[in-house]
This record gives sequence, C-alpha cells and structure tokens, in this order.
Amino acid sequence: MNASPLKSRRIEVPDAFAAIQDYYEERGWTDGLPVVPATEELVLEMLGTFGEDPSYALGVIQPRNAPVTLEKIAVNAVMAGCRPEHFPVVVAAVRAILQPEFNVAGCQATTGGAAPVIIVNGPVARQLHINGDSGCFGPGYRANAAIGRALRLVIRNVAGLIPGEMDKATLATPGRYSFCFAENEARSPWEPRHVELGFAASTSTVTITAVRAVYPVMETTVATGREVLHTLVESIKTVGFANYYQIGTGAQITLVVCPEHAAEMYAAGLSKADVREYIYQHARMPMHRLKGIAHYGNRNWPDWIDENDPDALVPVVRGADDIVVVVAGGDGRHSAWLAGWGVTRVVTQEITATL
Amino acid sequence: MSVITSAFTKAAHTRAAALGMPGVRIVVLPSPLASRSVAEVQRLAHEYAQEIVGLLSTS
Repeated sequence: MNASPLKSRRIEVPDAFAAIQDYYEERGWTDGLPVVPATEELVLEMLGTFGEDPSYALGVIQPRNAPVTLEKIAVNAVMAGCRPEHFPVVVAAVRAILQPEFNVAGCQATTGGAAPVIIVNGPVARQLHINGDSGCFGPGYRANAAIGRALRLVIRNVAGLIPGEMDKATLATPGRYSFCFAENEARSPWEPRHVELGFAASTSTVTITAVRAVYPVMETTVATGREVLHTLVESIKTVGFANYYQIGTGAQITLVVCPEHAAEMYAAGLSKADVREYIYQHARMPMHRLKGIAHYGNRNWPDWIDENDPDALVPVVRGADDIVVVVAGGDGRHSAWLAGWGVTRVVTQEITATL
Repeated sequence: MSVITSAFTKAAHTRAAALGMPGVRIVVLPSPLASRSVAEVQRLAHEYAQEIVGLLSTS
C-alpha cells in the first residue's frame, strides 16, 4: 500500500539523464530546457516546508479549467530548479495569477504574448537572495531564475497554455522563460511597493504584472530628477505602443527606476506618487498621431477622449494609479518601463509560510 | 456555439474539451480578418450569418 500523500501518477524511466529529459520533452512538459526530474522525494521535500495537504487546491486555473493543487505546484517548482525555501514565493505567485483581475487565461493566451513578471518585496527577497541589484532582469541568480520558471511551468503544465495550442502568442517574449526580480529596497529613497499598498515593512509580497516588453531608458546627461522624468516620458510616447489604445481595458505600465535616477528624483522632491502623476499627465500622445494606425481598429477609449479633436491628448494609462513604480537595478543610469497588456491587472499577494 | 477564425481552431477545440463541451458547435471563419477591408468583412458576415443563426436556433 502506498502511504504517500502524493496523488500524481508515478512514471518509471531508465535512470539516465538523456532518457529522463527525452521523456519530459516528448510529453511537452518543459519550456524547452532540461528540467529537474520531479521524484517523489524531491516533491515531498518541496512541499515539506509548507506543511499543508498536497491535494489542497488554490483554485481552478483557466483555460484548462484544472484545479491547481499544492502538489502540482511543487512538481513544477522541482522541475524549475527551485529550492524548498522558494516554494512559498511560488505559491504566492500562483495565488496572484488566480485572482480574477489578472485574467491568466486571457493575458497568457492572447496573441500579445505577455510574460508574467514577478516583483518581490520585503525581507524574503534578501533571505532568498532574489536579486534586485545589478543585472536583476538577467541571469545569474537561482532564486530569480527558478521562481519565475516555476510560475511559467505551472502556466504551461497546469493551465494548459502551450504555444500554438491555447497559447496563441504571435511572438511572445524571452521573459516567458523566467522574469522575477526584487525591488532594491536598500537603495531606494522611497517606501517599497508593499508598504505603499499598506503592508507592513516586515511582510513580503509578490507583485505580478503581465508584461509585453522591457523598454530601457538610458539617461546619462541630465542631472535633475525632473529632467530624468522628462526623458522617461519621451521614451513612453512611442508610435505603435499598444497601451495608448488599451487604456479602456485597464492596461498598466511598470516603471523600474534605477537607484541613481531614483536618488535624483527624490532630491528633486518627488515621491513615487509624484512620479506616477507626472507620467500620467505628460506621457500623452495627440490624437492625430494615434488615429488610423497601430491598434486603433480595436481602441477602447473612455468617452472623455474626443476622437474628433486631432490635438486631443490620450494618456498612456487611464489614471496615475495604473502606473507601478519600483526601484531596481545596480549602478548606472539605465531605468526601464515595462509595457503591460490590457484586460489584465497588476496583482499583489502576500507571501506566507503556510496558507 | 462559438465563432472563431481558423487560426484559433486548435485552441477552440482544446478549450471546449477542457470545459467538458467537446461537441460544441464552432463556426470557423477564414484568417486573418484584420487585414481585410470593411467590404470584405461585411461580405464574410453575410456569407456566414445564416449558418450562425441556424446553429443558434437549433439544439
């Protein structure tokens, strides 16, 4: 009699690296890269720190309409290369994408091809070595790589979003392999995102946003925070940028300010809220530059935007609160803004040691 | 029933099966639609309207 609490089917394959990897690949269970074999021992170890019934379902995930059990999340976390201590972060990320406003089936199935980006706040980032400093969008840190990859594998293997099948992304983005970073709270002059939202500083959170692309903004010339903001705004005003047409469906953007730029904005007396308001007020495109091109055919503008006025200014988001501002990165003068998708909203979820 | 373009055929059948409706009636329009003129889209609409109404009117 099998006394294991795990319900997953047991599969025996030859104990050889190539045979195991071939098996996973042939069944379409990977992101294309080799995975860690999800043995019973490793899955139990992954679940162990969480102390919950593995069959407990966090919810039903679309479009496969499948229950997301802790066991299935743990299997994918093992495959992704997570350590057991990463598991609560992965669980929080899955809980976040299960929120109806994230609309995982929509934003991960559509041709737009957005990646779920995980931003970690709070003490957990430091404890788990989740990089929010130099090169935090890139490779080099197991926690960043494995946590982001685990979420992606859950989306593929549990939600059923397989490219060319229910995932109809035209191009997608490399961020779909893994995209996880921490806010660089140590080098931020502002309150971190989770504190902005009312969480205690001692709490840890994940913020998930569906992002189509990273737009870098190099500003090495000006020396004041307001001038840096001006350059950021000019970068956002891009012809063909879909967000101008998607404000009616709630498209948001995330501004990732590097520590040097953040320090200059702070020195200019700007808070995070001021930065959001400045971008909302200034990152606007005149109607005559938007009309008849790009995503105009499927625009979704609120009534107050006068389409008959060629000089009417269209904001990049429908309100200042639709701009997330975090500080991340290391030395240097490179900030970025992340273009969100429509019909999905940014979600923040507390990371807890148990449910 | 559902109306899709041919690019979404596999996705529609997979989704229907996931929802326990493998036999759902799906009308497949040619893809892509976005690059067609308004007149072409209207012609397609007339071409498929009767089939769609028929499927909506029968159980």
